[in-house]
Amino acid sequence: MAVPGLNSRFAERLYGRLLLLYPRDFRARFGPEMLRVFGDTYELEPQDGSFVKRIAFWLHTFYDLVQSLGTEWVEALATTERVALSVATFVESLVIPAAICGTLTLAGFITATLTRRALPRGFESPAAEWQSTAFALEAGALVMIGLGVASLLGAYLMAPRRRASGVWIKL
Amino acid sequence: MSGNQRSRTARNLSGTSSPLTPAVFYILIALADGDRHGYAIMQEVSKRSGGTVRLGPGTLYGAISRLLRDGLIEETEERPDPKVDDSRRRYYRLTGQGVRALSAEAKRLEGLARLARSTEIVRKLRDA
Repeated sequence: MAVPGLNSRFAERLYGRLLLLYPRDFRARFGPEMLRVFGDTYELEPQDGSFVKRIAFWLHTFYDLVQSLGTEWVEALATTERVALSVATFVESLVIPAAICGTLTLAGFITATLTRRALPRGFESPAAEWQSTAFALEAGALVMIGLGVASLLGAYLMAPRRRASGVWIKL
Repeated sequence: MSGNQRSRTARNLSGTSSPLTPAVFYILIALADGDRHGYAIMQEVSKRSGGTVRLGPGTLYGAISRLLRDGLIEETEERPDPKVDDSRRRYYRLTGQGVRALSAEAKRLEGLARLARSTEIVRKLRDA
């Protein structure tokens, strides 16, 4: 049964857009299959339709995305021949840092704005409800960014490195 | 990646000094009984791990990409009939090198389990 609340075609389209975050070669090779697997999971996995299950499904999807993005980008950038050959790859490699910086700036701006509005009225005001939702969403976004940064660092530290002698070592 | 590098990485993967990650180990096990496509691998991994390992598409295809590169699995030539199944599906199977890596990892885990069972604490826990 599909996860209620989102049309499966819309969910696939959304996931298809998220796949654009992967390196071009990886996306070209595995993108259609990943989209198909996501569609299968979305439609065929048993979901009881509860709000918690729905959130858990999407959290798992985003966690998987964020975790694998770091690994795939580090792997793509570690292929030195490819980086040297393609200017497009270099430009593309700026997408993730730009996305992280942009989201952090946006999160900081939202925090500052909400705090400035909430402080004079106190947190008991009627506006506090949507403000707390916004804070929760912002906290979720920050957690995702944190996971992404940690994943990038982890993948970087764990990636095999080539020594001068040409021998691959694993840290 | 050159042939030499590929075989060196595969030797590392199948050697006892370089254990396979749980995701890779489960994927190899899922392919041990026959060719499967991505979603079937996910389901098999979930089934065999009792639901404790749930691979998402990103983790699954990241691992598949590295397994293909290291020559432990390969894509089969067969394509599903578009009338019966989605033509986007690709089927994968273990190579000889993959079978050797899987059996080396199984032996390594068996050795570790034997070592753990030989300790006093584990013996007491089993008897309790």
